[in-house]
Amino acid sequence: MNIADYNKCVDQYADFVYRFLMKSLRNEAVVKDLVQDSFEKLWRAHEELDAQKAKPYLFRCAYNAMIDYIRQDRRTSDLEQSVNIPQHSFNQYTGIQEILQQAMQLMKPEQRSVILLRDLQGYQYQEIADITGLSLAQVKVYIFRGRVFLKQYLEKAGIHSHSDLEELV
Amino acid sequence: MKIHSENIEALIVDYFDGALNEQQSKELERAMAQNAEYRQLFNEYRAAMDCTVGEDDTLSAPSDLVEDMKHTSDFDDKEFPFFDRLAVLVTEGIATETEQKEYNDMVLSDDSNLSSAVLYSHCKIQDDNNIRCPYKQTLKHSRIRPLWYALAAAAAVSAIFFAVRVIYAPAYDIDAALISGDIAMNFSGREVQTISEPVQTDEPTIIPQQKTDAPSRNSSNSTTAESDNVEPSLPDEFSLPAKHSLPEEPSENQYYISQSDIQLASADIPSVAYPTETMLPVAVDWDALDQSYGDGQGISIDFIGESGLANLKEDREQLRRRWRERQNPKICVSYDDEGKKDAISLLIGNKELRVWSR
Repeated sequence: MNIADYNKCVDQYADFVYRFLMKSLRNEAVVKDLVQDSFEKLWRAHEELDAQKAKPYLFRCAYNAMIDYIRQDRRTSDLEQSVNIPQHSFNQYTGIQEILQQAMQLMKPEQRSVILLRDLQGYQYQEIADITGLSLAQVKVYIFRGRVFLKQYLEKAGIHSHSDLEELV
Repeated sequence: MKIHSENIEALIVDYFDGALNEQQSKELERAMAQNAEYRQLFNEYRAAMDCTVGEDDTLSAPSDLVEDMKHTSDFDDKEFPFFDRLAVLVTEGIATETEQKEYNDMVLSDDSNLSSAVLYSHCKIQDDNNIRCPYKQTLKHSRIRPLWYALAAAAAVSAIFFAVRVIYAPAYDIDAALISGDIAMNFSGREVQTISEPVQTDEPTIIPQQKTDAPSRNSSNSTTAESDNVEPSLPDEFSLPAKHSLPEEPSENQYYISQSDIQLASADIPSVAYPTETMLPVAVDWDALDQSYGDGQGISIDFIGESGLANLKEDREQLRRRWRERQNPKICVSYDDEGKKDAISLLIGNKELRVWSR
């Protein structure tokens, strides 16, 4: 991969990586550091890297950087320990995606990343496993439990019927 | 095959796993017969093997469990209801045709399943293309970038150089003040205007002189008449009151203080240099000065300092000669405690006419 390829990667994937990290961490300053860190790693490896493999490599860097950051950040671990589903009325929310984003924040970082890679990027399970370093079975379990959790969160948020959803959507 | 304490355990495990061939098995049995320690180890392994659960073909799983397992090959989490597992398969888009049909039947047959199905269908996180990386351009690399870094570094070094030069070279401020006319304004505007009304006299008291440039002054020792054909330039802001305004050509009782005069006064500072060809737009009405500050016998200018005046000596002598008859005012440069130039004054009699100060 040459400089032009690298810059093309920036054009094509910077937004994806940025959104992936923002939806995971919701911290602009940290995300900026991690995005730059990820592309720095891509730059260092660009001469040996095939352009076709740049995107998964980039996401793997971003994922690892994010996990490293979360492990270092004690506040996040506190958040993980206090996972509970709050009782809300859906009238408080402006949209179903907002509710889902809140639910995502209650997930474990690995599980959240797996869901995001699946939904935002449409990666296959094996690709997600390659990016995250999890086993294929772990990826499937995370996705299954994540979907059920999101559905339960919607129910707890007071969304029970199709009409409720229509009102939000 | 050599059997010793290092490999005996591995051989015993292989023996129970059936990984040894017939000859190896016989050798192991022979070794155990000869060595009580090996034999004891063998018995311990055999006891442990007896405790493990062996395969029993006679046992079979309950039929409902088998049915459950059929649909959960990908998501084998048993703590959730069967419908949820099917719903996730459908949401993920990986359900088989049979699973999809079964799921549809369950949704249609039960209202609660229908509600769950609707919720599951909205459980995907949607991408937001409006959110864009705000610092994308900074992530790019370019071959030109090092050149920009070099230029920026050069600019920074230059800026530091000039800053240091400005800080440690205060004498240049005086140069700038002289050249820009700050001194001239003091000469012409403030101090001279305070002088009382000039007395009209029939006889000119001062011979006017105008200098155009240093070489001409030095080389020709020209008289006033010879150099009067050069018309001085006088900016508006330095103009004198009407009664003292300069004629197009200096009259005999007026003198244009030249840059050289200031240079003479400042000549004891070698670093100070002025363009001698530049005329300071200053006119001194000598009659008025004489009446106010002189003793009625006229005034002239004297200069202090002798160093660095060799090339102006003749000119200076000429000035002396012309104004010898007068009480000479001096152009005086004073210094502060640190040796920096503090003020330039005209000393007329026993009075000081401050023309510039720091």
